[in-house]
Amino acid sequence: MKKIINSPNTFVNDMLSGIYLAHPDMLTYVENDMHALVKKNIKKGKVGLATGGGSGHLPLFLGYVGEGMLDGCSIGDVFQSSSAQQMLAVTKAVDSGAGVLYIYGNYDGDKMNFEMSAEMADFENNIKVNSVIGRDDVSTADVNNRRGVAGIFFVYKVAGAAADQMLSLEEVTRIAQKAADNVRTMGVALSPCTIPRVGKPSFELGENEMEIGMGIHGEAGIRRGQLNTAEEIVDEMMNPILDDLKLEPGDEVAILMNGLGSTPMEEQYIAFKRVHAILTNRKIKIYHVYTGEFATSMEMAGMSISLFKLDDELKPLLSKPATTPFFVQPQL
Amino acid sequence: MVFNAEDFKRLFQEWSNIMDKNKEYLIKLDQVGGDGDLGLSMSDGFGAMKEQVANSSIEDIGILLYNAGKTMNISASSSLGTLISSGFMEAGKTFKGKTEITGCEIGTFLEAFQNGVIHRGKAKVGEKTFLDGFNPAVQIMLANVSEDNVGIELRKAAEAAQAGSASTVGMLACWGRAARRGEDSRQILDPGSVVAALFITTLSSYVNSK
Repeated sequence: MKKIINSPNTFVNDMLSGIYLAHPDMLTYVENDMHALVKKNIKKGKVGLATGGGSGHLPLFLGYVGEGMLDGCSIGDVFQSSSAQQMLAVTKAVDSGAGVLYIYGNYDGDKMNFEMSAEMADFENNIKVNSVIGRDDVSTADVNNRRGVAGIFFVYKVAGAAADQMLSLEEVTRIAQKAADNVRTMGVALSPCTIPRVGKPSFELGENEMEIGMGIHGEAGIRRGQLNTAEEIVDEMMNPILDDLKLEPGDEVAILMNGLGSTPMEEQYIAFKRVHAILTNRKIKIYHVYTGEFATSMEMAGMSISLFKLDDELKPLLSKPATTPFFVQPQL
Repeated sequence: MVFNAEDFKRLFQEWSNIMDKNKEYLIKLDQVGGDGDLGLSMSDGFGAMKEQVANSSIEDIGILLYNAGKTMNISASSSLGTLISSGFMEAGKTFKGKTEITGCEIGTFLEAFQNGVIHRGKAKVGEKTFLDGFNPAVQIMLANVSEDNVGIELRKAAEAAQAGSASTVGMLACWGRAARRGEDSRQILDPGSVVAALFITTLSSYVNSK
C-alpha cells in the first residue's frame, strides 16, 4: 500500500501537528500533549462534551470538536485507545462546573480507559462525569456487544445542540442516550486498509468479493461473498436496520451515507437512490440526508448507511447549526 | 511485620526485575493467542512504576499505590496494563492515609487490587484471565493469616497462583483476541495469569526475605 507519510512511527504525531497548524483558530491541546485536543473557546457553565478513540478514522473522532458539537477529544495511536490520563486531561479542560459527558464507541480498550478516567475525574478533581456509549452497528445481534461506528455522529450532533442550550448534565445525558438508542448503522467493505506500523493489509478480500457488516477496524461481518449490484447491496444493508429500528409508516428519519475512505462519492449517490426507494415504499419520511466521509477506516473501500429515527425532541436539536474544521451545517 | 512506603519501593523494584526477566517468555506466550506485546507492556509498565515510586517522597502508601497505578496506565494503556493499573489504584484508595500496613493486611491489599481488576475488566474466575492466577492467592491470604504465619501463607499463595495459572490450559477463552479462537483457545496458557503468578511469587519472596 502506497501512503503519503514520512515514517510509520510519526504517522499520528505528524497528522496531529498538521491539524493544529491548519486550524489554530478552533483547536488546541492541553498538558503539552497533542493527544489531548480541546476546543479553543469553551462556553462557561455548559456541560462539557468529550469523546476519544484511536486514530485512522478521520473525521472521527476529533473532527467533531467545534461549535455546536463537542468540546474535546483524546486521541490514541492507530486503532488503539488513548490512555485514561489523556482522557482525564481533556476532561479537566472541558469542565466548566456543569460536569462532563463522554460519548464513545463500544470497544474494550476505550471502555476501560474512559471508565478509569471518569473515576479519576471524580476522585481527584470532583468532576461529575456521565457516559453514553455508541453501539449502532446492527451487524452484531447481541445489542450489548454491538460496535460503535458512523452513527455516533448523530449522538454528537444532538448532544452538542442540547449542551449549547445550557441544559443540565442529566438532561444532556438523557437526550444523548435517546439519540444513541435511535441510531442504527450497517456497513459493507470492498477492500482492506493498512495500519502504517504493521505495513500490510489487516485482512484479504478477493477482487470480486465484498463483506457485509464488517467493522471499521476490519472486524468480521455477517457475510462475505461475490460483489453484488448497488441495489442488492443496499437491500441487504437496509433490511437489518429497518427491522431493528422498528420503523412504521409515517416515521421520520435522517440518513448518513458514509464512505469508508476510498469509495467515490458517485457510488454513495448510486446507493442513496436505492435507500430513497426503500424508504418511500415504506412511507418513511426523510428529514435530511448527510453524504460524505464521517467515519473512515483509512483507505478501506466501502460505505456504511446510518438511519436516525427522529421525534419532536431530537429533530430540532439535529437542525441546529454546527461548525468544526471537518463539518459545517447551517440551520436546517 | 509491618510494611511502609520504603518496602513498597523495593517491592516495585522486584516486580520490575521479574517482568524484565520474563519479557521474552511473555512475548512468546502472547504471540500464541494475542498480539504479542504483553512482554513489552509489562516490562514497560512495571519499569515506569518502579521509577515513579523511587523518585517519590510520599509516605502515604495509598497515594503511592494510586500514583503507581496511574503511571502504569500512561506507559501501558493495553488491556492488561489498564487492568493492573486499576488494581493498584483501587488498592491505593483502600490504603489512603496509611503509612504502614501489617502482614495481616496483605490479604486486604490483594483483595482491593483484585476488586479493581474485576471492576475494570468485568471478567470472572474461570474465564482464562489474570484472575485465574490471582484469585487463588487472594483466597489464601484472606483465610487464616496471622502475624506469625504471613510468610508461610504467602508461599502457599504463590504456589496456588502458579497452579491457578497452569489450570488456564483447558479453559475456554472468553476475553480478548484468544476468545476469537473458540475451542482452539483451550490449549493456550493464559499469559495474563502468568503475570499474576509472577506478581504473587515476587511478593512472597520479598516478604519471606524481609
